[in-house]
Amino acid sequence: MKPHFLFASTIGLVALTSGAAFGQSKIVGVVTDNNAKPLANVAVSLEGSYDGTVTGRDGSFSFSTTEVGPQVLISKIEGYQDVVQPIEIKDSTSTVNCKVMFAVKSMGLGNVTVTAKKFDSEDKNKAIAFSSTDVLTTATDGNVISALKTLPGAQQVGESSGLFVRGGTGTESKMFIDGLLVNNFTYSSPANQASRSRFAPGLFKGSFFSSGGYSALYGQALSAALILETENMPSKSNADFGISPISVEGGIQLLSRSKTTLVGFFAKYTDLNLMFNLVKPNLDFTTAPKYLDASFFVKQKVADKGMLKLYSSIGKSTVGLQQPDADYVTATDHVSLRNTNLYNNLTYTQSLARGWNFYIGSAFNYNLDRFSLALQPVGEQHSVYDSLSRDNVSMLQLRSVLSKRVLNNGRLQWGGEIIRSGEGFASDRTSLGQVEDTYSAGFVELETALTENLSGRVGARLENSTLLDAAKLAPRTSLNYTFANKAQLLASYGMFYQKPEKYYLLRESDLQFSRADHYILTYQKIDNYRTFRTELYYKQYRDLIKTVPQISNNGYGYAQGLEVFWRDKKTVRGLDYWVSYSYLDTKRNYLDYAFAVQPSFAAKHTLSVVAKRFFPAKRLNLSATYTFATGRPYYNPNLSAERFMEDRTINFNNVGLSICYLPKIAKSFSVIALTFSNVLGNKQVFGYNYSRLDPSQRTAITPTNNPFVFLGLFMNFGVDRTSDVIDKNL
Amino acid sequence: MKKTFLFLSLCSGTASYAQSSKYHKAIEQNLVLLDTVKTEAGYRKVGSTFERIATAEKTQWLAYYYASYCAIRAVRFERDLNMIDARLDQAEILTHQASTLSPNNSEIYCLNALIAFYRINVDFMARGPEYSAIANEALHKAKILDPSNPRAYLLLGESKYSTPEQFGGDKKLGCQLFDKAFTLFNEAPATGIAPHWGKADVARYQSLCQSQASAATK
Repeated sequence: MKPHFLFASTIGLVALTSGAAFGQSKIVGVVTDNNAKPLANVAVSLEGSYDGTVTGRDGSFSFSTTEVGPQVLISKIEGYQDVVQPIEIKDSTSTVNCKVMFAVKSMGLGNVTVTAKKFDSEDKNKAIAFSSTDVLTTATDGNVISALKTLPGAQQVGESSGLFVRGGTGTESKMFIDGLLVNNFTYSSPANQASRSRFAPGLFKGSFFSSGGYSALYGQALSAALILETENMPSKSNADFGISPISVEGGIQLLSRSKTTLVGFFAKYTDLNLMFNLVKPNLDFTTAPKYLDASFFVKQKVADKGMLKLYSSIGKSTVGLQQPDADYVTATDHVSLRNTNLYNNLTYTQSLARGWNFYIGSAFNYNLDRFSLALQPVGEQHSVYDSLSRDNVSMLQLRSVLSKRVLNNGRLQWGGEIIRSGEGFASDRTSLGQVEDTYSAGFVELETALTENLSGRVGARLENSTLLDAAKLAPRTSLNYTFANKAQLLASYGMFYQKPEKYYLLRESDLQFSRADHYILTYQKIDNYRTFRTELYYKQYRDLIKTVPQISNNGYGYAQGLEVFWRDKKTVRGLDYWVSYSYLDTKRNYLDYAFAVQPSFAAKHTLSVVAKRFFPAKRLNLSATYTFATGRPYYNPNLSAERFMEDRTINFNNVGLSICYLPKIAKSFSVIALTFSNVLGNKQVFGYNYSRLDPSQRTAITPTNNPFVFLGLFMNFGVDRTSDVIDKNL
Repeated sequence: MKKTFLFLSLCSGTASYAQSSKYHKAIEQNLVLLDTVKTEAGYRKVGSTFERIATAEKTQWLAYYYASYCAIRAVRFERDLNMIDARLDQAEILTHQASTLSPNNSEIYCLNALIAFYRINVDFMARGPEYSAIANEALHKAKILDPSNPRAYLLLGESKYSTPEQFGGDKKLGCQLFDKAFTLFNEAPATGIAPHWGKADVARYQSLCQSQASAATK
């Protein structure tokens, strides 16, 4: 009996494996979209079987199968939801004709969750994001702010630090590192001089600059938010070294063997003395600017998908200069500024199951500016007037955010923060005392897809200040429509509050939050080659600070404009260029203004062109920047009162060039950077200082060094060569 | 009773044998096709067959592996930078499924490295450092898991050979790695349906290395 069974099962085996020899049924058909357009590359298969095929260019398909009876035909293509349809195969000789139609588009590519590259937050999609390479190769002076000044919305203000955005002052833009507010993002500087960012561009993996209408997660910035994210773990330990006529720097970061812990240290000393001996500056420095900065950082991976980051820095700087007194022609002002700055940033993020994400962070900031002024009559040994003042700020911040993936690939975020701050100003003659404030905020925001093409964001922020004794609710919302060609149309609205600067809070106790309302319409089309983006906005200012007749919140203003941004990496192979144009119409009545006028920091037209090209064979990276801005208003006391701020400075023109060469030096990654600012030597005037006693006398406010040349060598050594050693010991 | 039992066990044994033999044979046939494929459409077609086998079998990592391999190779023909990431995402899902079925598999780590290498092409300047680090890490892991996997050495060699020196490349080391891969290919030729791709690439690189070495001595 046994052999018989064996025989039968062998027959079965043959039947299974060589079915082709027996009759097979055929499945044929055409796949189209709902406009009857044929779809190629659609994978068609019978569920549970190996049988199937891929459609050709005309959308047609044909395959054989040994299956019979009721079957399920599955068709798949990216961008659509799978089509599942039952079919009936009568017998092994029949031909089944099918029509497959894809009707439902899947909700974006965001359904694919394996990738971390796609921007997950809507703010990033709305703002122009800069990668760290973009910043490093654009801001060749090592200043993050200079790179951002080539983006639309930013003004070319050279006499003051900070970002002046869309008719806002420099203090209306705030910087956030890993979610936490940074005070004194730039170095302290004497009046009418801009200073650079304290933070090296290499610290950050990316930055995105929201020139308005930003998320409810951030506050206390009437104009703009610069959101910076620090680098994650490097792939191996490494050391840095850099030298230039103005600075030496060095650092090391050590990665543990398990690649879960990183400890690093970095120090930099900058002294412009040598530079100023070679190229005479426009100012008479008694002490050329000197900066000493040191930072310490730790990054620790915690369990599964948790990350702890600590960044701690200390900085000291000093500068001294003398200049003719604006009022007393026979006297010289001796000005000196010494600064001490401490910054600590500690954050912990944890991704949890089911789309939960947890963040907690804390920052501590301390800044002290010691400013001295001595008035010395020409030819005399002793000064006739001395003053020494101390300007201090300390700030402790705690922040926590929870987020959860919800609905159609949407996200709900909520959290809160509390900032305890103390600010004071005292000189040896007067003391304005100290103000202390506990600022707290709670926020909630929901982003979600509404229909196939429409998505929205709605959020609110409740802010309270014990000093101002006021609570404000700031709603933020936006609606985003995506066209078939992936272009987007975006409408946003947001209400933004900001505390007055401390100099006013110290003098007047009855002040309120200033307020700005943003209305923005954006059209953008972004892909890997090109970005086109244009924005139309209207911004209304309320409760701005007035200093005349007394300090109050009676100021007001508006800003409206049009901006265009175009970036193209494709048209000319290897060339990456972008063009930004901003039209700004703004007026405000604030501080000591008698009526609403275009303020001194606002230019009507601003244009930036940046072009970069890397020549791999020559190991050379060339980049050029051209910036243009129309003249800005300045106050001329010789004009009658009703012609307040009518004068305009000359137009601003600046051509910058940068050549980076990557030499072969041992096993290092090295860069020799040579940069020129204002190559053509265009005259640049930011405004004028008028003598109060003799208004026919004025001095122009100009850049300190013009033109400016910088040459430096920067090297990076990978310390951990163990993998290479292993590779060599084959 | 005994006979009935024998009957049942025999039948079920044959059925599972038949099933696994069907799988084996299907992979084998498709591998023959894969070895001759030269076009994008070809890779797509062969890849979709592997994917169908994978979905039908559900537990065979190798089917997912080959499906992913085909998807990655097809990306080589993609000229539209905007599409590369989306297509590699699809491949990544397949390797992920393969590694769930067969964790700590040297061959799958090699595919992860390949995916990272192809992602660099989207934006060399911005992605180079990050993704080559990811790829190299995957390859070192692949080498640790299976020191005799020639593909780990081939891909490491490619990375060292084609990366500019100032970014950590080393042509000489690359050539040594190709030699090592060549030795491994010859020492233990792949059998059956186990991965065997890469031998031709090694030979091509070795001749490049040779012509370069002879040019240097001239």
